[in-house]
Amino acid sequence: MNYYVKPTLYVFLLCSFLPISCENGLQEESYSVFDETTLTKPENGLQGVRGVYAALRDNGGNGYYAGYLHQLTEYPSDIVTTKPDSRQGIQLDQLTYDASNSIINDVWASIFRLISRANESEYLIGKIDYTGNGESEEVKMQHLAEVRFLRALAYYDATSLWGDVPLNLKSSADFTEADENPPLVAQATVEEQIVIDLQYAQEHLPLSYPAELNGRATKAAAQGLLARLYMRRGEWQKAADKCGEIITAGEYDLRAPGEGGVVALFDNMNRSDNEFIFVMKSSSEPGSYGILSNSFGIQSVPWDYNRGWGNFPIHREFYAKFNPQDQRRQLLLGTYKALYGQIITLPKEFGGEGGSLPDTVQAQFTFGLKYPHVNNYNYAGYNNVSIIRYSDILLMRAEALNELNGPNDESISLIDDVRERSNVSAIQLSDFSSKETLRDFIFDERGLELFMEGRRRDDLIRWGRSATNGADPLLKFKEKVKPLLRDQNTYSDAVNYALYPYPIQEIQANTSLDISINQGRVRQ
Amino acid sequence: MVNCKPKFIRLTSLLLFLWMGGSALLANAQTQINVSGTVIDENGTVLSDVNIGVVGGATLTKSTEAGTFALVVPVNSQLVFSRVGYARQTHQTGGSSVTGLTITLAAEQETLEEVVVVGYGTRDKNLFAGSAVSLNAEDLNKSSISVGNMLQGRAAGVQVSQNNGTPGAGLSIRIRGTNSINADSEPLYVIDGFPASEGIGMTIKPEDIETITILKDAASTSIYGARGANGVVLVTTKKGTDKKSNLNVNSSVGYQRVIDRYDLMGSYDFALRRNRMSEANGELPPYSAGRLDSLQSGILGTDWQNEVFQVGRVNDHSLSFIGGTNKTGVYTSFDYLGQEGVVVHSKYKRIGARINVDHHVSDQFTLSGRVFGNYGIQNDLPLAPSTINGFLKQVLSANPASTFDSGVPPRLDAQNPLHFVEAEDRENTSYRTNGYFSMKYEPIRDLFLQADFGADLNRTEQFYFAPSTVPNASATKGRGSIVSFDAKELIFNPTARYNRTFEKHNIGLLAGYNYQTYLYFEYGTNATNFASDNLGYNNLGTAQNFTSYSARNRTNRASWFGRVDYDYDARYSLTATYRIDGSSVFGKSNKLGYFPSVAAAWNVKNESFAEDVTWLSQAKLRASYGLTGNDRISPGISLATYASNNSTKYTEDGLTTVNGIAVTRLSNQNLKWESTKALDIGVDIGFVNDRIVLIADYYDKYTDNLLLDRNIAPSTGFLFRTGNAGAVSNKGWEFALQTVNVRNDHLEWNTSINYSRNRNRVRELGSNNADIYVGSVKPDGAANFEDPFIIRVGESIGSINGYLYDGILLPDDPALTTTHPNAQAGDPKYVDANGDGILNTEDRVVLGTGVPTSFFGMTNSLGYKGFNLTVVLQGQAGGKLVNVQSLDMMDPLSTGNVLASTEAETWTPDNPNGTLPQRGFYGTSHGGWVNSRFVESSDYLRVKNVTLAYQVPSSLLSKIRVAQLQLYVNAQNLHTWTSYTGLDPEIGNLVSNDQQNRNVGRGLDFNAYPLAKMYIFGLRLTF
Repeated sequence: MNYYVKPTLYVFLLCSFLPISCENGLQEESYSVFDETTLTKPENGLQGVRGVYAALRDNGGNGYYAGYLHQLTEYPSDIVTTKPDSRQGIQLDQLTYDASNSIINDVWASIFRLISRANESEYLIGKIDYTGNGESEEVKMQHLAEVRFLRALAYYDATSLWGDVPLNLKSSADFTEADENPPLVAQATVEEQIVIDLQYAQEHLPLSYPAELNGRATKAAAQGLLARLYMRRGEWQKAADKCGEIITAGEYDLRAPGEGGVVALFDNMNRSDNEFIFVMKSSSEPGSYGILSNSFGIQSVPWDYNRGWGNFPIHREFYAKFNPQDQRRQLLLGTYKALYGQIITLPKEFGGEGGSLPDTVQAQFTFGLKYPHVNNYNYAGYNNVSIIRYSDILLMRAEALNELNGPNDESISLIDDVRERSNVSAIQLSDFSSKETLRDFIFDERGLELFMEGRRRDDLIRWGRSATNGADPLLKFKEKVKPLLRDQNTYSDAVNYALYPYPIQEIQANTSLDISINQGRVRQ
Repeated sequence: MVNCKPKFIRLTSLLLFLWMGGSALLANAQTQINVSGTVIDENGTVLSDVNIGVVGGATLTKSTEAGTFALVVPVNSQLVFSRVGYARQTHQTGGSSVTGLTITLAAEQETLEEVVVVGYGTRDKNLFAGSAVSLNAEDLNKSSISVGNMLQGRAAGVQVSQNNGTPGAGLSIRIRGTNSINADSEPLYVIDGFPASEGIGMTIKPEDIETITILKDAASTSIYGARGANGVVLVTTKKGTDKKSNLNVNSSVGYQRVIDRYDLMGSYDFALRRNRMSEANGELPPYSAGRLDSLQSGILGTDWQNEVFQVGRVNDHSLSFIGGTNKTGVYTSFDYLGQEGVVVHSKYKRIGARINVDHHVSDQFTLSGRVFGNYGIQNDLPLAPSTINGFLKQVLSANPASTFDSGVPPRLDAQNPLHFVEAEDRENTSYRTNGYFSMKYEPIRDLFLQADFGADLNRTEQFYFAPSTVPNASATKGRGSIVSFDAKELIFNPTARYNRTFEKHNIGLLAGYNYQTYLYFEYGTNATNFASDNLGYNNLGTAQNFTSYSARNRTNRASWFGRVDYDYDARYSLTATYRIDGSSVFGKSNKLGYFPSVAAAWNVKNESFAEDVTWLSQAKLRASYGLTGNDRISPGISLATYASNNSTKYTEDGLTTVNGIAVTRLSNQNLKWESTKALDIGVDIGFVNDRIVLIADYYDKYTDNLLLDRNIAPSTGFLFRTGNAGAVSNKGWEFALQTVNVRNDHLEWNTSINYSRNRNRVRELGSNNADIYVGSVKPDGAANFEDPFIIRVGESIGSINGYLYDGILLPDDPALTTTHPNAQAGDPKYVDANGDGILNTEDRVVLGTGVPTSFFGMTNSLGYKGFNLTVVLQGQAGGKLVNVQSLDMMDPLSTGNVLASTEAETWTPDNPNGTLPQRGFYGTSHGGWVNSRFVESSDYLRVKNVTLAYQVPSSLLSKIRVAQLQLYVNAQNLHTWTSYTGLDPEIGNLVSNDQQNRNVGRGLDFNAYPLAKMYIFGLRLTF
């Protein structure tokens, strides 16, 4: 029996030593994630940059630039409307949204997630020793410039949609409790920061990239965004100059008619073009569904056409505005054969072919083809989502010069460049008697050129601001936007439709805000 | 290391104290006397090998083969006689030698009635000062498939809920309310002394269980320190020591079916409705007159509930052996369970075995081994309450005017609404092997040194394949995944116990150390673009695109604990415990936690004045107070981490994927355990020979430093942050009454009733006390995302937050121009609760709590000759459910099937008496679908378990060499009384499976797997 005693006693001896180890062995052991201490190489800096680009689509087929942003910028416009059964969309289209609209909440969260990733990457890249690890300081500054360009883009969108927004430039490591409840910062202050970031970006971003990297931000992307901001602020000279810099640099041009023109530009197979200054890229690789895809294709076209969801119907009146020769009209669905055999067409008075039942169905709406959809259930679209396009730069310069000098040769010539590329007749300086007539023409032209590219809401507000010298930014918005689906008289004088309500998720979690900040932003 | 020293000193002094107590006994040398005699048992048989010594000292001698003994001891010694299997006997010697002494040892009784199993030991029930429920095998629900089922309705203060009826799904247990918001609130399970990180779920075979003890108060659970705050369930499995050898066969078969069904629109009515809808939209009606005739006459059309619900068979068989001598005992079993679900394509199977061995090597040395292993295979269904994946929504809204009679099974017919249920293969397998080895050594009398070693190995694998024909895999040409979770837990657990009696003072000391390490490894592969749908996850190699991941972490726990049990004359008892807990999951600055507790009891019945009160058979007052913790948070939360996953992927050329990184979590260096302070006051009182026993308890728990996922402003880039903030209180009453109503030679009728009531309140939520919204969900594509639940200071956990429904907006309603400016006639109207003149999200109010507040259980057991009838009733009150299932099936705009009453109830200008808004509740520009109209009481009373058993008389059995034969019939969920209008008030689905939803978001009835009624026929054979 005794031979059992000894081992037992040893065991107990062992036990009495173990407690001495105390806190040893209690450090956290997680083996599968990165933390700051492991991210010290230039390639980690590059990974940080990519993480910010990835935030443009915010994890999935609809987030931010992959779809939801366009619902905020296109639904409340004169071109695009929504489906009668799309309830969230109807709120936007009918201007009956409030703080709980899920699209508003979603875009807000996406924008600030991108900003937080940018802040984090800026902090991380700042700490990485590039030169000591075989990379140049230029690369480091380029990485910082890319991150700051993307942050500026997000703040540009945030201020376009909400005006005053929280301004956060800190990495989360420096967060205090107050930073968890950020107050609103005046739009002008945020814009100052956008300008600072973009000036840094245009200085350190390259003019172009090799083909395999052409989705990354260039100098012209920063300049173009800066021009867009100056336009919004009515700083016409600065805007015209910025656009001029891009034009002079000569890195970008319009896709020529010989290369298929504007229709080929938006072809699915066209993975890039130097008319695109900055786009959100999606991958056509198999397996990118839900990860590197966007759902524009399936959202844009109707079911009867090729099994799309038809979430972005376009008013027939818009189709009617195109000259039949205009190649840009080919980016709209005028007449097509439905899956079930009938011909679906717009009525003649809207530029369609007309006809009657049972062979022909008169369409109530047209649909855009800028984001072509493959004929299947596949919502893994991989279309380029244009954020800044060269024709936008040309039209912005034309507009800015008109605001500065009234109708002028350069403006006309810039507009004609855009028109002629699409086989539309040139305009003449003599056609325009005043700044107002050319302005109105430019905004109509912008609609024809840039529809469904997320520009219309900004344009309508800027148009109104220009037309009234800043007195009533909503003048053109209220004149053009007809919430046709339900109630045309939806407009309330108490609501400033230029500013969306702050999302309820933010108000609930942020102690610096309360529900009263949406006064004047939602219908009461 | 800096603050290490004081704790070590504390521990050393404890050990020192223990050692001194032992050595004091050995310093006794006085005049010696001779004592001799014989030891016999109650039947007069002589007993050999009886250990004889002086109380507190070593064994001096043993009785001979003839039962005789002789020894020399000091005068006035207290001799102790002990032998395995017999009650210990003492004898006080006088001042002179004595011979011819006869000592009678009584065979050890089944002492389960007298002792309470507590953490690291047992305690005499009369002296136990905490609050616990001990349930023997016969007190547990019969024919139960899982441990949770066994407890339903049986123990006061123990809420067992089955939110999910999927075969193989575990039950949720809450002891005295929910303490936590983000941390796991399930109790700690201790299986034969092994504190397991993983729950029990289906892995313990109910048949193997001897007793279950549920420790409820802090003084009882604080010996488990940072893991004890949610209560502790001690499971003790059977052992064979001193039992007659028996081979048992228990075999049962049965079936189950859904409790209820929905009254959906029939095929003809549906077709008419669709025609009307199309006409209203200016489209051609889809159903021609001929089709309508066929539908009306029943030639065409399908009742999808008939197709999706089935009668499931249940098979439960086990084989076990029990038996042993006073030296060695063996219990071993093998079992098989097969259960088909009440919904097609769902089932569960479990196979397992167990060996329990105990061996007394010598009087001082005992070895025990416990090993069990089993595996389960569950085929479940997509339950997520989202629009695309919930099977119930999909099938219930399927077009009843469609017909699939081509002879092609739904598995192959992609157009069939059941196709995605039938064609998607989901298989979850779980393996558990648990081995436990224990050595007990008694170097000197009443000092027990014990060392336990154990390993608990858990592995879960999830297989999933959706062929290219189902909607959510068509874009990817099939989708398959294999995910594996591997958890290994190792334990080393030495303890020392010492008991000592000084006259009427009895002291028991315990000191121990516990080291546990938990290793976790998870990996998975997702595959898409399958060359064919044939092989699925059986050969992912037929796919083209893969994404894989893996994750590994380790949690270490080191703890030191001690306990002093003291009583005076079995009248006053006191227990004090102290535990120091270290855990690696805590933040850098908070690695150690300290958990003291104290409990006292006054056994009034043992006072001299009460001894003569014959009608009073027991009376005890108890009080306890203590601090416990909850450390169940995922490892790694205290660190900020950068992830590299799908959300960080991008492409720079429109083709090639490049991967980036992004920060995913804010760090927290101060993260620590939640701490619960709990008071318990109780009384145990028995009358008339314990034919009536009442146990009542009041408790008051306060949990602070909650591990909280606080919502933070999305403008920070993060949606929440994990930290210690906030507090929750739980106060309540528990009553348990056991009565023996009739007891005579033929008839025995026992009743036990338990009732508990808990009041849960959120006390604090971080520095800003900001509300936390839980469970963001949209039941339909047309609906807004809403958060049905809220965590708010002053309200209880599980509060439902929504609008007060106020009927329908009629065309002339002034609210259309005031509070509801964006609405139109026929829309729902809600109360402007805050009176600010506009209806918006600020008008949501708390509409009740999803967690019931009162629980009731009643068991009647009636024995007459060989018959035994047990009826268990179980009920709950005070809770609410958001009946989203009904809401969704009453959507007037739905093009899918709806409840039969929908059209008649819909308000239109032509149907002004309708009570359902014209456009339903989804996507309105005001208010929302979480509203009081669909918040219903979940109160119910249910006949949970009925068993009728017949014991075939042994006179008939002896001829066929069968010792016992019992035949039984069992029914579960037999009948329910409730006002709830959905299928079942016990159901609840979680928006997501995270802990916050498990604790808070429990009151949602949507896409839940329905509960079943079960009927079982079985026999139990003993050879």
